[in-house]
Amino acid sequence: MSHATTAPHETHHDAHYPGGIMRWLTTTNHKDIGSMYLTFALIMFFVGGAMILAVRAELFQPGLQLMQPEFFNQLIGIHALVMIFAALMPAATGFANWQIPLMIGAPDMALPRINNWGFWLLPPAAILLTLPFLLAVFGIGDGALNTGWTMYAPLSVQGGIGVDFAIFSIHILGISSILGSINVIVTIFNLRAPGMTMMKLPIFCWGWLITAFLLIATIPVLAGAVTMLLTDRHFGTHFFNAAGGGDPILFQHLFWFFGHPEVYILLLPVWGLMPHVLATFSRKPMYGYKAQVYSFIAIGLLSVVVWAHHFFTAGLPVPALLYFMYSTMAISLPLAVLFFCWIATMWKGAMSFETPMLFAQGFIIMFGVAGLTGLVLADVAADAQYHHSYFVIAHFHYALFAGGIMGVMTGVYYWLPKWTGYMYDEKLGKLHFWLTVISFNLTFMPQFFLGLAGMPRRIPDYALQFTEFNAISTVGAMILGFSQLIFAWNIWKCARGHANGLAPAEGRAWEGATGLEWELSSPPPHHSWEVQPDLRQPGA
Amino acid sequence: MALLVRETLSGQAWVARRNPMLSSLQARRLTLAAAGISGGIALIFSAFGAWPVLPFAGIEIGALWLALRHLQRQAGDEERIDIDATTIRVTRRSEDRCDQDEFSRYWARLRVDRPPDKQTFRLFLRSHGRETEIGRLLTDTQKIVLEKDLRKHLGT
Repeated sequence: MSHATTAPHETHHDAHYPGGIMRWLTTTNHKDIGSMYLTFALIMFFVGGAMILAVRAELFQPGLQLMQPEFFNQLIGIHALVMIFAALMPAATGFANWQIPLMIGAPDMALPRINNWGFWLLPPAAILLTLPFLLAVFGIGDGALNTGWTMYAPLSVQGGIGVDFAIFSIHILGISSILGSINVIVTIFNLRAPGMTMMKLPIFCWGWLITAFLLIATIPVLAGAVTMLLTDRHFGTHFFNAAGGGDPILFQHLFWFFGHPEVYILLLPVWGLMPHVLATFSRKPMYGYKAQVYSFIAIGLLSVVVWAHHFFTAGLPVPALLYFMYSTMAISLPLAVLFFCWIATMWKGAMSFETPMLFAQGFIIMFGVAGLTGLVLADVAADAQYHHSYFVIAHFHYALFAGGIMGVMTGVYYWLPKWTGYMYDEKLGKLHFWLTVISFNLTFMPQFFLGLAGMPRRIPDYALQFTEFNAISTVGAMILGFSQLIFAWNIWKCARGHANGLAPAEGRAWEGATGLEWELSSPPPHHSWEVQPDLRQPGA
Repeated sequence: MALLVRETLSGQAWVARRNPMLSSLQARRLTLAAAGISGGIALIFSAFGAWPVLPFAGIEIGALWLALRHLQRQAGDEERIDIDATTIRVTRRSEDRCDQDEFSRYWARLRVDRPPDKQTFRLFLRSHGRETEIGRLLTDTQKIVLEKDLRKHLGT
């Protein structure tokens, strides 16, 4: 006879953990590391946000008011790198750390020390990225990366020390991402609860698994590209120097081979969490689990074969233009399947509109705008007009803010009761949602019209006819930026729920929530699954 | 981690082992698939002159292989504690070795080490100047369960 031992969760001991800063420096616990990733992401979200608010303030009216064009260029480039690599990606990794072990019935991530190392690589990378700003104040160097986040050669070959700092920062961020990806892959493949087959894997984990493979496939290409840039700058090579027999377009191929899948690296974890939220607040099982999984796989595969649509105007041969146009448009098919499944999940459900559900609705509608305008940009003929215009800026902010950051906010509000043990302030959450969604559209909808009217991106000054739309966009951006303080306050309030008199959260914090993570107490015990769940048992 | 309690012909046994989902063959296939994708991409770019992508792809696949190998090597780890009428026997199996410690059931005692600055506590079995750690594959709560179970059987 044999039986698995059972023990109540209350018996876990937490009196013997190191306290203070040592806890955070040495922790190998997936929840601590997840919290650190999310906190880091929130801080860098405000850092990157502050940069772009300065940019929008400059663009409030034509002419140069607040800064010189060189500094403007540094702000827009670093804003993008900070938001992508230091805010959105760490937020997704924070979700992975917190949720994957809880959702698959594992006590922790498979490689906890590597997990710790992966996080602690991030702060030095962020410092490297932003340090040239400070050095320039003391007269060292000429400021941060000023080539835009894409670092196109030959401009970046000729740039100042900010490019070198960015190259090293990208290398460190890449190592961190690879360590995180390896950890996710081996955790999902090795530590699932008995009986949790791949087709029972929570869809959030599927989203992250595809993300991890995309990172494995693309990070070496980016690492190679920036290393080639470094050797071109300092060691006399000519990879991207046409005069020396090199090819500057090669850099664009390398960069976007990473850069386009990067969009899905940012979005797939969010698409993975969305069905859980929609099912919970519709009080229905999620619709089309298998269809969504196969769509994720299809999107992952297609994402690495469409990169050149980012530089249709670079002079590619016509067959290549046609191939990249049709392959890009093909991504809309699995994406449409996802949209259909999300809507079908809500169809005839007993829906309620708590903050996570509001954000999920906002995500679906505004990400739909990103998808539709993406189809326009995928058209080679139309792209010749829209390329390098504010239309592109508006499109990718609908994708990455509405699709990415609002998705992260959905996840934070959804899982915050599980993480903290307290229900967040619903009134503040709803206020945050409405301010965000209104001000976001106020900021970026006018930019579609600016782009259509011909305003180019990456300029600190513009023609007079663009003034009104820019003024509206700046007012929207200011409201959008400052309303995020409500988000930070709500998280802080919830993290200190007892002191703030918030209601304690039950294990199953939401009435309609299903999944292993909701079987645990809120917050979960130190070792998440002290007794491994067994899904082979009847009814499991 | 799983802790199984078994009744044997001569007494009782506690078996602690990991719960790997991936066999070594599957781990090899996973590494090969990742190497095929990443290496293939790197080779294509190398053909167009971007050969510095290759070493990064190699390092990355090497890291994935090491991580999977590390877990595979631990996959077969097992710790078994057998108690019969007179003895308590601790058997530890790992990839390349098998250790066994035997104590008198009557004399053996449990020691719990709860250092204030460590995240987990440790269990030791000792007797006549010899000591061996048990429950290294278990979580804290499973150790508590094991400790309670063993205390019922020791010294009797």
